[in-house]
Amino acid sequence: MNNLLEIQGLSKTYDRVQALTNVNLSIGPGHITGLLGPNGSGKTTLIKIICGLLQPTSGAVYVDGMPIGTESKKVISYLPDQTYLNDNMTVEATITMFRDFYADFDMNRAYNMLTNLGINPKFKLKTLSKGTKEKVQLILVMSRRAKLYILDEPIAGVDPAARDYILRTIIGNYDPSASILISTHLIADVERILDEAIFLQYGNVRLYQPIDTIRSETGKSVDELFREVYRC
Amino acid sequence: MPWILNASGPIFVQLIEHLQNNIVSGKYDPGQKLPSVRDLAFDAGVNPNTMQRALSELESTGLVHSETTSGRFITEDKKMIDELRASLADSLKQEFFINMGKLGFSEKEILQFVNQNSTAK
Amino acid sequence: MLGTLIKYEFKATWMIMTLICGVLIGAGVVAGLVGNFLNLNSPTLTDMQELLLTFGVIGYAMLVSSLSMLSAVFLFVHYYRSLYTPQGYLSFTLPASITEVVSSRIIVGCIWTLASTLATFFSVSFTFMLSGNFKEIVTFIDEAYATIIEEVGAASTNLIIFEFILVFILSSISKMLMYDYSITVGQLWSKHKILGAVICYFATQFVMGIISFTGHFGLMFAAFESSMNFTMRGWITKNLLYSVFLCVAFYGVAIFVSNKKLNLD
Repeated sequence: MNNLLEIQGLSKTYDRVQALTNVNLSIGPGHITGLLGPNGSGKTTLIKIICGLLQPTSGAVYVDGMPIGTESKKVISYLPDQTYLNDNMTVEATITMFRDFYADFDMNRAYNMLTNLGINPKFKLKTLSKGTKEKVQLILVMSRRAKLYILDEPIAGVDPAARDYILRTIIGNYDPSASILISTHLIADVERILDEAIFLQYGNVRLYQPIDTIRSETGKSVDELFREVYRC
Repeated sequence: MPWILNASGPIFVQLIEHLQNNIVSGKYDPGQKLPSVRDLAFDAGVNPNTMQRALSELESTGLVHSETTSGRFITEDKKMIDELRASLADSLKQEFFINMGKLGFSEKEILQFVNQNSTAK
Repeated sequence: MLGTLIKYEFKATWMIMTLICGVLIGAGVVAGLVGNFLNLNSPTLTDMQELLLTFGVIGYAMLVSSLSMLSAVFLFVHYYRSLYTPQGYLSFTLPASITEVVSSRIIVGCIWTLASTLATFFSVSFTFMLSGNFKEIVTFIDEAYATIIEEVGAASTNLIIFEFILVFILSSISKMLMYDYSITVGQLWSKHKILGAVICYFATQFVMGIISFTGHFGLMFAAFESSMNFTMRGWITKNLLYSVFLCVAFYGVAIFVSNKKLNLD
């Protein structure tokens, strides 16, 4: 089967600093993969290259068989680690905007999630708390029927109760032929919804394995293993 | 019963244990149709692939069988369920004896202790 | 997709830009009416009237120039924010090409620059028309117009005026494009991207200075040598071509750099 995400010999150098070094990865359809690593390990750099926001120094990335470009952007639903919406817009206006731009956007799904999380669509984004803004962004991103979801720190700013709802939303909403790549520090919270984990260290892939393989081989949870691997 | 998962041990093994408990305790009746993988995964808050794997393992033991069109069903073989129940209970009992042994209880003391507990109730 | 992008660009900018254009025109109307009320054409002006006239003219000029500056600042800040701050994460992951995303900003910027240039023009016109003042200036323009017609004929004169207006509009658009182009080229710096934009702006300004300096003096020397060849038409046409060249060059470089070197870190 064709891989949804194929990364070959990817390197990125910023200002003489090597952020990624010869990264090779293949993610098939139907996986929820954790992209794990400490700060500065290259997670966000890798994600931005896949989304076309950074140009690689060398190497190639293919999404659903296509090089990064307009076509790849149509099938990727990307949640950045910062708020990327115009603060002057209402929640409703951002939903209309997503519907206008993305053919795969599902309005009903978005409004359902807003209701479930108790967010008033008439409010302007600048009146919302940081956590609520993050929820709105996640709703927008998860309301698309994309092939590859890329979530950069999706639950970092939201309270534990909403975290649980969001994680369930992620499992409940995605299509079995789609894949999700989640970068996070909060491994313990996210671990059970993952089926694979990638450990990044100094811009290299240190480990790429199914979660249950890690658990049965090491006898530890991924969270414990992570703390051990990256002990300071 | 909520799905409580431990930090260690493969998740699919824990899911199997949970499903087995539901079957032997009668929460799922013999011959009953199971919810879909997606619903079970959503309910447990786990990855659907992991739930799928747990169900496949249960299928290989015969406790669950799948009909290609209509979904997954619990076995109607009551004898099989009873046997599983007995073996699960047995291993819990063994474990209990071992752990009590670690606390310095002799077999006789353990039996006495269990009897006290049931009369106290 | 370009159409949708442009639609959302207008949605994001129309409020401020309509306000700026409205205030520009409104200020012209008010200035004209006040001038009319003060009746500044009477041959003898009191000290008070002279004072009012001076401050009025200075105030109006300052208002108009600061408003057009405000519109330029608003447009380039919008360009920067929507492309190179976290908002750019959304702009550049929309299912559109980089060329479309950057072009939508530039096209809408051009339209607003055109609108605010026209608003300035109308504002000044209203001041003149409504106040009924500044008769000398109006007469001077009329006379100048008549002289040119005598010299080159009515058809040519209208063409010259049309070209002149076009040069005026194009040069304000090229100014806006120069801001956008500088911001985009500034992104090539790995740190201090805004400083990079400023350096790019002044370096370009310097190069343009050299070009127009040699251009004008070359033209003057040429005129001395064969004074017949120097015509108003020729001068304006050269300016027109130069403005068009600048617009195309700034746009081309901005698009090229965005496509090859987009790095939102």
